[in-house]
Amino acid sequence: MGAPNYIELRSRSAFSFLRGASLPEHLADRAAKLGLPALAMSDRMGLYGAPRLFSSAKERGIRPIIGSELVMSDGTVLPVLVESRVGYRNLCRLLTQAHLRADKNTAAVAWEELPAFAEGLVALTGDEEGPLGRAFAKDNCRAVLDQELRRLTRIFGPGSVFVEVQRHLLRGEERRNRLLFELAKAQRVPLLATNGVAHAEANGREVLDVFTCLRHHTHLDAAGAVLTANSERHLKSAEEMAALFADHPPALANTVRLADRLQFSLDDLGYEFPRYPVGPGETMPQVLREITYIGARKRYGASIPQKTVDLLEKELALISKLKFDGYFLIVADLMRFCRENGIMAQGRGSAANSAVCYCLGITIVDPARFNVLFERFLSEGRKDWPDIDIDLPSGDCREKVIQEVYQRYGKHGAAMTGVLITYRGRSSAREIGKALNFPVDILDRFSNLFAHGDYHDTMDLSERMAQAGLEKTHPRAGAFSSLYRRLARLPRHLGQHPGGMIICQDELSSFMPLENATMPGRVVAQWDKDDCDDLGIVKVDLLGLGMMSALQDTVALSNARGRPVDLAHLPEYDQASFELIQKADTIGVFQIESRAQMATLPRMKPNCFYDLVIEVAIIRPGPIQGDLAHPFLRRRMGEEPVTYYDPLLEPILKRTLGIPLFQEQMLEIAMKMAGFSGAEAEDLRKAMSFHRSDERMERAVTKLRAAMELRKVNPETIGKIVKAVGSFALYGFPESHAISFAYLAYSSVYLKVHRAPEFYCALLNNQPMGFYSSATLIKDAKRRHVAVRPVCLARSEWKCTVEKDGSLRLGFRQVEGLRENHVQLMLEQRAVKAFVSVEDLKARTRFSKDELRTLAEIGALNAVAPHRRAALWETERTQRVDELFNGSTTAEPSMPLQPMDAVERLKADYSGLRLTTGPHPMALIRDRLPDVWVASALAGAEDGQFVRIAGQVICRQRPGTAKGVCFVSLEDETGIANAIVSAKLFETERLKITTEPFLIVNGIAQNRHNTIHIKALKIERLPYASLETANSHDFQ
Amino acid sequence: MFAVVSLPQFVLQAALRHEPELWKKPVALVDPTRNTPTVCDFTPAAADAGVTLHLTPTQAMARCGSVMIRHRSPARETAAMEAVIHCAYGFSPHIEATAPGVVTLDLRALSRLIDATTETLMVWANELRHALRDQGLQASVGVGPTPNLARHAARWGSGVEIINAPRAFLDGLPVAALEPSADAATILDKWGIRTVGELLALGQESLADRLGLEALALFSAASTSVTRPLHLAQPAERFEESFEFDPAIETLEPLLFILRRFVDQLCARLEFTAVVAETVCLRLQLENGQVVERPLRVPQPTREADTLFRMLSTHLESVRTEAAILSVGLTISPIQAQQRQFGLFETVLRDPQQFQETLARLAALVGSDRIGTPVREDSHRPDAFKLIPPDFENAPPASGRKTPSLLESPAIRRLRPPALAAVNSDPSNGQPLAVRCSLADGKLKVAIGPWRTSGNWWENTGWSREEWDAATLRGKVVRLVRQEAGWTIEGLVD
Repeated sequence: MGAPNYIELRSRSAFSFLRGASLPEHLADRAAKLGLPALAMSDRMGLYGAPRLFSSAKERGIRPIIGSELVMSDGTVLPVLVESRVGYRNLCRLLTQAHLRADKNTAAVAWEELPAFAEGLVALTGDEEGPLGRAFAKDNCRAVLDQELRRLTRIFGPGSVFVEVQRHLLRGEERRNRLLFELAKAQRVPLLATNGVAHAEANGREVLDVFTCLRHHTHLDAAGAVLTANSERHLKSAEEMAALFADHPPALANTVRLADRLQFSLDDLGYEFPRYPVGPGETMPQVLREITYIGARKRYGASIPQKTVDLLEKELALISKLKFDGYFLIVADLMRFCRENGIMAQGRGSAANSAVCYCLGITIVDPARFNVLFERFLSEGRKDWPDIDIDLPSGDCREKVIQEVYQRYGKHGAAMTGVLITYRGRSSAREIGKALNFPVDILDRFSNLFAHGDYHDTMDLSERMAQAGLEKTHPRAGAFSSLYRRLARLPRHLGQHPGGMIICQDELSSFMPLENATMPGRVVAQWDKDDCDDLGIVKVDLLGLGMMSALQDTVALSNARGRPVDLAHLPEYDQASFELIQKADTIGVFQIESRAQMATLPRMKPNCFYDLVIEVAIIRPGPIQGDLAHPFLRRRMGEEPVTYYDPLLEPILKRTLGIPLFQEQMLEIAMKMAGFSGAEAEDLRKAMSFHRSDERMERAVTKLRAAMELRKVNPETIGKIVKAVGSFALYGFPESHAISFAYLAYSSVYLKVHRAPEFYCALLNNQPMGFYSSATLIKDAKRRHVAVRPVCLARSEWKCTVEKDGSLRLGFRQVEGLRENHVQLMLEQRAVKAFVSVEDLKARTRFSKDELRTLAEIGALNAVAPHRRAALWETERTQRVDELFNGSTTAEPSMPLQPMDAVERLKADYSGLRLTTGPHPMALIRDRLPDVWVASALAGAEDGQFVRIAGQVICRQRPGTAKGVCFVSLEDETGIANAIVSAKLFETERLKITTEPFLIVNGIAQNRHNTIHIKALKIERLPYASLETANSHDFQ
Repeated sequence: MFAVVSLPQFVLQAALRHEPELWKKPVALVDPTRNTPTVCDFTPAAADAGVTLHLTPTQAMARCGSVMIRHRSPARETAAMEAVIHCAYGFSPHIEATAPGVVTLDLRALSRLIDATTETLMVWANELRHALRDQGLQASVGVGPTPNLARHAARWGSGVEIINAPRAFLDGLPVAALEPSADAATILDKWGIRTVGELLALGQESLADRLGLEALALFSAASTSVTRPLHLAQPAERFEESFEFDPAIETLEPLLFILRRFVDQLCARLEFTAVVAETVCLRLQLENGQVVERPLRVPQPTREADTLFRMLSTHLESVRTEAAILSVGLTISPIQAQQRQFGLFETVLRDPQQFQETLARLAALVGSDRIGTPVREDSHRPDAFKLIPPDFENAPPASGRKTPSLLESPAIRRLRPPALAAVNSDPSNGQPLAVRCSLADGKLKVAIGPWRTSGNWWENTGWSREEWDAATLRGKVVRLVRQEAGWTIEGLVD
């Protein structure tokens, strides 16, 4: 076989958003199978899919060529391909310029600005949307086409324009092609055959048609000729293309010639991390060493342990060798900014494996103490940047740090990484359903039935659709299922990553196109964090954690109340805190408050900090699916002996009783058993966490297996290790990460025990966060003997506060519909002089009538009125004209309204606050439920006893690891009862469980290891309309 | 003296009017026009099962698995209201359409009721209720000295309520009887004010300080003496009923059953307004979206139910629909008895009824899917067209698709239907090599193509075709088309 005489230079992937139907990986794969040596991909107004084409093409042994389709200001579409790094930079800058001046999805390039960016780019004349195609359709005038082609040649230069011809087997297209052949010949512009690929294989046309419908806001029955006429826009082999263009061989040969010219690779990006400014005569390694040792002396005192010194030396040498000094210095500088501005910040991720990071104050984990694996963070032979994630208090504090980064590096020098939103779940079903012209009520029902994040593997798609009203025999049911499967994971739109920032030494827009985020003041890159990672672009994750805010606020409140607490120096073992953890009394505590965590705590009985590290890591999909969690717990309780896969692994696995729970352990196992180097182990980790590619994982496992076999490891041991690696691939959890999280968990438990009012106050002020609603947190606070006082005109502030007697006073921020500026004005007025009546309040504030009504209704005005209704009566009163002028108030007969009763107060509280400081709704109907057990009494239930529980649903969960089982938490006035609903019962009672705010569950008590669950047999609605509800935590 | 006819749960009554058996089953009525469709009314059986107002259909189904969801239908509400008005008109010429499901009758001019005793009024009111019952509507009737009091009596009394002690009656009513605005109702509810008596006890002045003019309106509404003039209504000249089948029906019996009920009720209404039927229009909505409409002129205008029903059933015997029937509607155009005249703007056909009958006979012969006016379909499929019902008054809708002049080869004679052909083709690329057909026969000198089109892949009407332009050795130039069913010759180039 001779050299291939065709290369596809024009393809669009699904990253052209609704204009292409295949992922870049799919295109690369198909091209490789067809024997094409290279493939060019040019997506619409961006390079969104370029990194993925780049890595997948390289893996498949074909050469990726990148380009983009430029939407011009006159509506035509001009494809350009990148020839050199200069061209790449020009293209990135041009795209950035066009995007940053326009609203989202409206960017266009002006013809006038094109010449300045044309160097290093090659232009094709495009298809029917191109400048020539449009001119042909509009005028069909040779002279106009001549002018258009001359304009392109003027802009890009004579050798850098190609007349593109396509044959899609449609009648009439030859008319245009004949004109193009003549034109090319007349102007001596080379021809280029392409297939204008929009999908990898012929059947991709169906997805493309659905996308076309979505783009035109129509459905397949009405779309008519807007849809493609046939399925020919797929990747074709050189032979197929040769047959199509047998009459114009040069058009084919030119594809190879041009591809040879387009040698730019994303490897040549030339990206550099910003340099850290150092003084004259100083070098970055020197400065890093200096400040590391200053930090070490702060951490350890004058005598730094030898073990730490050894670690520091090893790390500093490697950092210097890999030229990462600037990176560490810049991150340390950012942490210093946080500290100086009173912002709590904590590094996590693999950075916590580094002693340098610990000494620089980036992390709080001392690697010398925990023996964590530095290679997980940094190893020789690694090309990519180490991963430092910084947790910050969510909200304003985090925004302040982000804006600081923008300020330091400029709008074109820093950007948030993108995050790819893909088609999946019910939104995908909804859009396909719309395109297939299904009735709206079926789509609505489908959305209602299968709530966001609900685990639904207990039913296949056709059954789910049947439940929503679409029978399996429906003529379009087959198309629906097929499209649902094929649309899965295709890009839907590009969002903004919550915290991933990328920065660079020069203009970032020279390396990747940037665009405006929906959020004002934010610029977002067209690539997601995995893309950046693949291309060696460093990112710093500035992640917002609600708990960090809560901890910061708790510390501030405690200090203000004269009960200071220093989170950096908490006692290593606090008995009261560990007792609370062992009792699973962990509502409001970081990480260990979920249902699954609370169910494990009484079995695990954490008794030291490292136990907490394991607890954080063990309730994860990885260990659970790998069947590692239960063996660990059994070993922990002494029900099973501790064994090791191999005696060699005892030092690695001893601390986790022979069970690998952490990614670091997997890497150490690979290094020990397969003789992997640090870099090879890191490759294995990447394969494990690289969620996109099963193939990559398979390759890594094969390599691991082969290496172990070579070292004559017992086949049974190999099998066990490979199985563990497989489960980690799903959701591996690094030990260093678990340690960082465990610190936060321990800190929050400690504060819950020793600074309860301040802690609950901070939690309420940072809602929404965590697992439970404000209503549940308040009930929990009360159970811990924290008095919770209602919102009060005379005492409350905007935020919740702690009063002198240690009671928690709700703030005005809890009240629905109150405007903060109105409250602030009221607070100013109150500081001048206390309010004496509702009239006084109305006169001196700007509260609207609705706001006043709400305040009166929830009892907030009881300080100036005898009761809620009296306040409401006064609120409604309008001043008479004579009163307005003489400033007096006409005396009225006595107030005629009766005070609210308990049920009315409860309703008013839930309506205005979504919570109540009064009795729990269940307390009000308790006498109507004589045969129902209260939650606190369940501890006395015997294992296997039939019980009936009832309460407000505060949480519904169906974790993916539970095989369709649903966990429902019911709260009553005494506590929380937990029910387990089998997958079968859940499907029967799905609507009741997912929609009813109050439930009665009849079932069998399971009282094991001090954990009580009710295995549901029957589920009923609790039929009292007067009960009000707070939001529950569902399926998240 | 005034009387008010009030239909409790009017919207639900209108929806279930022709399915009275559903009142015993759990049915929830949903208003589909709202952003989030929620339950707006329900049957007692649904209430027993826990269905309440404002639930989404999904929530209602969660509470009661067997609940039937019905959609609110403005057309049925209009028809029900017209039926109430027609009935009321038979009892008093001075009537007011006060609100949906509420009609006020002025009884002052009715000689039969002047100085009537409570018993006489009861008898009269029950006659009115019976007339409505014949229309499939359950009503309560209130009689009182003012329109408002009569309305309260009808709304809050049971069956028939004659007010003799207005003050005591009013004080016990819930505040909602005075129909406060939504804002005022919310405020009163927050105050814990539940009855009219409690409201009046607040004092007009204090209330006016808080609710402004609305307080005065509420006190006025609670008055036992204030009356108002009625906005007199004339009964509509349109007599219409409709019904949606669930599930769609495929046989004649259920259709005739419901039509008989329509005819009976409409004829009773014709009688109340002293008119006769001139034309009867039958409208059938089919499951495939098609609407079959049959206007039938009544040869001799009448309001005899038997005659009209016979006419309909005879006509229906010749009607064949291509899909199940989703809904039926019957409209009677009335005229005064003995008066009839041709309309100036009637259709251009002299006798549309005759024309429709002719079409129906043709449909029976060739199939109903082959009758109509052809229009082009917006599709890549050549010659794709659909048939729409003939409309002699309006031009057929343009297809909106310009025929691309460049795409067609010159002077091709299209063959419709295409001629079947046997073609030998090259197995490597599918290119035709020889053709055998009555129109062209022999080896091909040249074959240019293929041109491929396909569509409708999303259901079983999917199609795909490949066209070749070929010339035989004998010089015949043909357009060959390969489809799933085989090769055909679709055209000849002269």
